[in-house]
Amino acid sequence: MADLYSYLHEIDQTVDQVLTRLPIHEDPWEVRFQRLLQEKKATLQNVLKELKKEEPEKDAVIKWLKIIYRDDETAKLNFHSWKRIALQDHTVDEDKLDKIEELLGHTKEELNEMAQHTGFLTEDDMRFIAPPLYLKH
Amino acid sequence: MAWGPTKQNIHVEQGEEVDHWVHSTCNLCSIGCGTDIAVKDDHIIGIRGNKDHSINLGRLDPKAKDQWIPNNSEDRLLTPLIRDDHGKLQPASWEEAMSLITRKAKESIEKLGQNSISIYSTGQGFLEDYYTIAKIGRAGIGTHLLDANTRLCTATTEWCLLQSFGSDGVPAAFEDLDEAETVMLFGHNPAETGTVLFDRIMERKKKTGKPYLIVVDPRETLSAKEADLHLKIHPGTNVALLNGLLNYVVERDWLDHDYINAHTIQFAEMKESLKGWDIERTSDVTDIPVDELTRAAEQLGQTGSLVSTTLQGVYQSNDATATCVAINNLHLMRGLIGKPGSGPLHLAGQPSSSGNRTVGGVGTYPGNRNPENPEHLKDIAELWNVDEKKLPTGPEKGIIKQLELMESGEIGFFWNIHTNPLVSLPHRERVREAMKKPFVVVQDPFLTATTEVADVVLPPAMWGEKTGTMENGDRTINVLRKAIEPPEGVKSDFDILLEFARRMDFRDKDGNPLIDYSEPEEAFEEWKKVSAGRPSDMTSMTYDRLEQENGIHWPAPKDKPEGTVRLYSEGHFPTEHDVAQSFGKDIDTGRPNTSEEFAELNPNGEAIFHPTHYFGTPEKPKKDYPMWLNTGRIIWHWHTRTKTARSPYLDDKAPEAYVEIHKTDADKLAIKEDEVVRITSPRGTIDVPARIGDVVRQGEVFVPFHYGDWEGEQAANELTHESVDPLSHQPVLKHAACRVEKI
Repeated sequence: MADLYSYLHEIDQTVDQVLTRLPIHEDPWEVRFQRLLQEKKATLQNVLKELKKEEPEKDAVIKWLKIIYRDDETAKLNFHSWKRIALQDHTVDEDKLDKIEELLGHTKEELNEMAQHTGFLTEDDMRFIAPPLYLKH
Repeated sequence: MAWGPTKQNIHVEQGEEVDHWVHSTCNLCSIGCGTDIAVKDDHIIGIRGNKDHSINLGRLDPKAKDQWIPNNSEDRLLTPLIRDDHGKLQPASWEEAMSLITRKAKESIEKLGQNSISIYSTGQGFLEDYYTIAKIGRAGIGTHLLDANTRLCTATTEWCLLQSFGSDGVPAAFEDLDEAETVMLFGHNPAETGTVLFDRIMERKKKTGKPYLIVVDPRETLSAKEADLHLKIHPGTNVALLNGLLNYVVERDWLDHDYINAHTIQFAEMKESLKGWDIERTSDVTDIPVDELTRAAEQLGQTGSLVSTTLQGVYQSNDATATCVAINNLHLMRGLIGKPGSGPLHLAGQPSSSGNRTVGGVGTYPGNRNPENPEHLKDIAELWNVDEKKLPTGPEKGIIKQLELMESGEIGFFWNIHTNPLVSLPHRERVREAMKKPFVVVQDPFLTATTEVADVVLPPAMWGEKTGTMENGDRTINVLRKAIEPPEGVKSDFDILLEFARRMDFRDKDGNPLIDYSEPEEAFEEWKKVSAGRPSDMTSMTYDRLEQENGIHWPAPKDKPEGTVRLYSEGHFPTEHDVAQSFGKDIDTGRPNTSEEFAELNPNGEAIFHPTHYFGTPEKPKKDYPMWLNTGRIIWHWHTRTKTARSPYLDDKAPEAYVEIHKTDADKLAIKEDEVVRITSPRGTIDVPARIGDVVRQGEVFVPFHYGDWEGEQAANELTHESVDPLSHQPVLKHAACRVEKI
């Protein structure tokens, strides 16, 4: 459980770092990307609060983790679309986009690792929490 | 009753006598016309329309009349090819090719995991092939990466149906076009892309004046010319248009409140999203005059029956799924669904792209099963006798996402079946570089732009040389009988897949071969068991019945062998938590909903209204690229012309790419008719002759997408970009910024 909290806390801080950099140049992809990050942030707050309880409710944790993983996977897709257009149109500095990409990469690594650490959550739970590309095969 | 007189089109090689005719179906567009194949001395020498087939009454599209010609083409591949150490493709035996493929697939799984294997198939294959791909891919390899060129074709159809109705399966059928008071063709030009269907609409219109025909298209297409009302829409504003029309209907209370109350949820949320979309604002955004918008809204709001079709003008635009969902919203709010002459008819582009989704070769699990529902996976595991824990979960990854995985080295093995992505995908230079990374197998009867990056090329049998079934654009299953044996050295897709499964030694949990059928009909019989009790139930179909009945609409369960023309006539939708094919996605961001969120929504058999927000195009014209580029289809060619360019008649009709440009723009640039001009987008440049007129609007150009190789032929997809719809992940091929220059 401490592991889980630690991963999520780290992800929460990383999401903050990305969110402080937005909005940069509003376009449809950036709007969607930001919305997903905001949802992820709110969900992280929920799950971190739950995990601080003496006996966290497992179903609630599972529900929120599913959202966090799906937000992450979808946000990356939206980010890459935004990045391609932004670089092409020179609307956003490449450095800024690279930094965000680096932070997203870090989040993905944390989520990958978290998916391998079962305990409070079983392998069966994780199979339906984390999308396949976050699970090792 | 037949929708018109029979008119049998026949095209047989001149001077030849036909030995016999073999029952089949057209293998080009999604209409699914019944055909017979002419055979002489074990050669295909022609085709005729099946006059007893209710879909076409003997008629054939101009392309269909020549579809047998490529079978006899001298440049057909008759042996596998393997790329040698010097980068050249060299003839090889099947043994050599299949051994190499098997070894490379195993190596990829060992080094990079099961999700390093991608099978990218087609919408032109048979259900039996797709079902086998589903079984090999999901239960054999265990990969999450099954996709197809249906991603460019009908992925949006699937997602809009999942969002609104809980399951795939287009609600209306072609029969509804014969009764509809109003037909709206939204981003759909059947006069060129589905001529027999357009004949069907126009046959009645010429006799009775009905239906009232609304066409939404930025171009003055052949379909638009016949419309009562052509809404010449500004690029990328489909959702804005529908929000304006729906708002007008809601404000006047032209609603079926009983239907809304009894059969739907979330009407209030949807209604909220329409606020502010008055006709004036809609006109500003869409460039459509207020009086035309008003006429459209009054017609749609008061008509007694309505069929709305959609195709690539919607699917390959921004906000694609939201647009189709808005059309579903319109039908639901007016109660115009599940009734004769009414319903959304979101079409497909290819002859069997819907079939690939139905049997699980792409998208969700076979039989509309939800990959996020553990019970559905258990169900499939039991049917296939495999360990449920080995079946991959979750929504699939589209080809554009897969390009990223190729670029990052995460895909080690890419199997490309009957499609030509190096012409059809956007930003093809990027695609080419990405596809150089994995081991690439291309299964195609001819050398194509894509075989240039293949490590192995496998020559498959073509139409008429294999047996199987296809699903057309309105859920009709047709059977295609083998007319002749494939040429020496060529194998059917089905046999290639079975051989791969055997060599990979895929087994069920009792140690028996995972695939224990050897003939297409046996595969179909197994699929029927998998379909039982599901929305696409086909248990009462047999090959013989499909031939005798000239196609049957699914579902056709045991107690309804005649099939089902239109869905949802009882007002019940497959949205129960344990039935739904998907838990849906957030309509704005595309984030997949969780099981818990769907349970909380609790549609429980009712259709789902969704808010539809207008986001606009990711790329817009700007200083250096001041014009809109649109790409699309023409009547004479099919996809990347692998087949149609081999017909001298069709090739002669349209031998090269061109650009349509408005006469005012041509005058400004001092461009003359047929003059070769340069089109440049942020991604590439092509030089093509100009066609000047008023088919396109001022400030916009159109280039057909069919053309392109690596030897100088000009491809529209040099110019397009790879943004995708957030839900369906279908690329936005219809809107890019460009400039046109005199050379």
